[in-house]
Amino acid sequence: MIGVVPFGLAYGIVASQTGLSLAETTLMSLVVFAGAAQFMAVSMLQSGVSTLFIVLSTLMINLRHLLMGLSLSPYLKKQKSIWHYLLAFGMVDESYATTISHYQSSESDQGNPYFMLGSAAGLYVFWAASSVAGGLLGHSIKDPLSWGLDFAMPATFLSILIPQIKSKRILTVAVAAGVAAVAAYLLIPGKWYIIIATLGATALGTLMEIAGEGRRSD
Amino acid sequence: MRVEYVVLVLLMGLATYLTRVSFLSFSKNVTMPAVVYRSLKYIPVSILATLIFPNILAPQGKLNIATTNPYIWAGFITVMTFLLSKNQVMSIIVGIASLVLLRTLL
Repeated sequence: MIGVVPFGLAYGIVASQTGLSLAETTLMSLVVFAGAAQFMAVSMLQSGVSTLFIVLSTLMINLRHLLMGLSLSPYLKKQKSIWHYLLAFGMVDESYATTISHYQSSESDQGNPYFMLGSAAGLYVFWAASSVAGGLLGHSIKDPLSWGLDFAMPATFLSILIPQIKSKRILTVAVAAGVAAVAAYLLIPGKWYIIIATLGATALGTLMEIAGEGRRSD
Repeated sequence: MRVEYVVLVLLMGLATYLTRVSFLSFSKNVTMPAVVYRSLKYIPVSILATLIFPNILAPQGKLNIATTNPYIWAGFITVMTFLLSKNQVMSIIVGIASLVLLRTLL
């Protein structure tokens, strides 16, 4: 939960500095609920980018959700569709990471939808409240991400990632994804690096698994 | 509130929701080939790593793998704190605190 607070604050501060009212700032957090897309949108609004382009950029920045949804779907396949529609709204990076690591470490092949609901609802409240707080602080703060809070999200994800590394193969996949992500991040504009590195590292892990089985059966 | 702004927010919300909902029901409706199914378990660690590494090794959008990059040390301290304490919240707090401290030192 604490990982989103600095970003909510920062979003609110940046939004108010670009001239959005408190109500406008809050509305976006309540409706969109996607930090990276919201940051991008307020900076694009400031430079006068058209609505169509902002919406298309939102779509692209959020393409990683496709992979998140795909990897969560087996754990929720026995749930009614209404659960999918409800939980999809709250599938943000942090609730996804918390939920998938909980589902993967549990004995059952099906996940408890209430776990994800609780995680998402908590984050939603924190996200909205910290956006409001940021909007209120507004102009009194200059550079919100420079007090170490920009490390809150990487630190949160690290603390979720580390316990998932239970084999050399998973470690290899994580390192490959990270290195590929840095390379793609530096070379390719936009957020494509997330998709590219994730697909590449996932394929690598699968190939290693298949190759490992081939060796054992020889 | 300006109408164009409300329209923008609603369209952004719709675009975001579509990316979230489209594959979440996938397993319910489609039987995936076995190879895809077994590949899914690598997605979470990969996504997490892609969200972490650029923030640490290229914090301001530029590659910085020098020993004076405080994010690398803070990342290391976060990992060590987690491994020693097995406590998620503690490792996050120690990690952030160490970054603030390192920034003034390095």
